[in-house]
Amino acid sequence: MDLRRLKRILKDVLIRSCNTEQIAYIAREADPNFNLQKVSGFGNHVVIPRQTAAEVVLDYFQSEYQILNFISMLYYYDGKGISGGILHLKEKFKLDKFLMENDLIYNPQLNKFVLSQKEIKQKDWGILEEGKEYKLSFLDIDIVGSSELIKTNVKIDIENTLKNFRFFINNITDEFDGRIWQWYGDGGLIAFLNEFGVSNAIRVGLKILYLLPVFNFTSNQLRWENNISIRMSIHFGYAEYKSEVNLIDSEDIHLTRTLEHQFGLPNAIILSETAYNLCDNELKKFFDYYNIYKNMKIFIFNKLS
Amino acid sequence: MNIFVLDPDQSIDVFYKNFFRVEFPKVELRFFRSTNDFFDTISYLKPDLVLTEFEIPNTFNVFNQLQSNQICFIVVSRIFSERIIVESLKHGAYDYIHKSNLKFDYFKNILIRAFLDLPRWQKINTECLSIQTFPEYQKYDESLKNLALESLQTSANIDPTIPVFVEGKTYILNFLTVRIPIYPELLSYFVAEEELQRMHAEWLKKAINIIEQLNGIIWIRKSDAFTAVFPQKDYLRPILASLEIKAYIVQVLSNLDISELKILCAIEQGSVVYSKDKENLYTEAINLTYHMVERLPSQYYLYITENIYKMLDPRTKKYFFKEENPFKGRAIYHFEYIS
Repeated sequence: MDLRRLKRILKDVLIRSCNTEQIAYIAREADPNFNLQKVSGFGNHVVIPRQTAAEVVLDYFQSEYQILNFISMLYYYDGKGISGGILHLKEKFKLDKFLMENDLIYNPQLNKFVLSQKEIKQKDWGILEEGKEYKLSFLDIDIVGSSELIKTNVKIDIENTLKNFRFFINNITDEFDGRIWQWYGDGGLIAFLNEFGVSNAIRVGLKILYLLPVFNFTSNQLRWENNISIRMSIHFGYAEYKSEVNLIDSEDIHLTRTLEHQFGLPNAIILSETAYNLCDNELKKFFDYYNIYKNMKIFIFNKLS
Repeated sequence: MNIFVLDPDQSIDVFYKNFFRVEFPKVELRFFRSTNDFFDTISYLKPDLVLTEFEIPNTFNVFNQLQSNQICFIVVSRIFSERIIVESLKHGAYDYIHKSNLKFDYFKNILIRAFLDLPRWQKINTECLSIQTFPEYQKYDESLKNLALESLQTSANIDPTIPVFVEGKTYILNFLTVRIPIYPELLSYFVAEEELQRMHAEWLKKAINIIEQLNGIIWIRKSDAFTAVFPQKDYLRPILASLEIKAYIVQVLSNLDISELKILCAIEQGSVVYSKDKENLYTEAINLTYHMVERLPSQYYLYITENIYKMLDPRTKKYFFKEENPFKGRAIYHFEYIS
């Protein structure tokens, strides 16, 4: 990131938008140890021009992290009243543009800049924090009869097909902002952020099923008798985030797997009652009531046509 | 009546056969790919009329020999060049027709006129040949013939790797017709008809994008349907395109509060004489795919003909199931997701 350019833009925004007190206040919010009078060398009773205040702040915050933290505070107070006036950031779009060019977007919930995920898809979407519990939607995928396929096919064909399958799943998952957290070779667990992710998980499931023949025609290297078919289940619940995503486990992840193992049918999607209740109304028409598991209704999509 | 067809392009035969069977059932057709075979045959069997392509070896020599043998001939060619047409007529051709015009009534009328005019033409031709030209005539005649042929070579010198369709040339292609019909449930869902029209246009546009990503070319576009072409060997691509379009339609449906969003795709392989005016292309394959997407039940969304089915590999064949009743006398297959 071109820090010098960022500082130039930021200085311009600060001078146009804030008075000295506001600049000092925001800097103090970003770093409680910041003291404008002390850092600038001006005495307590001397009025500091806003341009000088802005230059002092930009000198004080040196690293990329510190500057982004300061800008986060600036964004947080935009439109709010501080130090005797409402802060309105003028020409904020210049900052937005520069940050977007650097793949960064402001997350108001976290009050920090996160990677936009356009270029790099982080397993934590750039926002999940280690050890914290989050609401997530889970999609479990499993190839039907994979052990039988391994017995009847050459090892290299199996390896290539499974590699292609993961690539196929990954492409569709990325499109709907899902993250493959665990992959077992013949299937895996895909996570989606919060309750809104349920609808995305269903859309991923539908797209996978409808494009599965394309995969079989173009990327399946097994014997021609062996077309790949899959079972899927979707559930919504909680899990504690770990940067080692392979190690993430929770009761809800376990339940997602159980639904797939116990109720899954080839080329069908099993949906838990929780997920069914949370999904968009437009998606409910795809599912029919199927079974009951521990007092929880289970729904199924198995009418591919 | 005997008509000889001298054309190296074999794919045009089907058109001639169908055309003469319908319009002139008593005409006997013979097809020749090379001039040697052709002249061997006319040495003992004189045809009443010859239909010849211009693009044959030693074209003008062939024309001269036909003229001197009092054989009436019509040039049916993919070449549409003023010089070539004039030179052909100068060298004895009774008429000249561009292949893209074959489907129109021109061809039928040209033939009828030729049949009716044959005795008179022969008399005129005999008279013409009996009159000697000036010695200098040959020099300018040769020069003009060479210029015409050179201009032809320049225009034909196109990079073969670029898929450029040449006007009048016959191609065997795979035709995919996709139809996204507007039906009552859709009309009642969208309060404003303009909104439905806008959405419908967007769906078609996206479907066309999918086709183009798979190297298909859109030839015909109608209000609720379009036809795309794929090269002869790419018989799998139209199937893949249909599947991707269906996946897209399901995504659209997942955002709408309606029970279904209909889509019908049909694929057939056939030959076509290329014309820039694609709305008037003559090809049975396009007609058939349009009839299929109009008339076949929407219970299944993808239908292929037996021509396509036979070419598929066993893995792909597993997804296609034969329809009980043939469609317009042809066996057809529908696609199902469970192989």
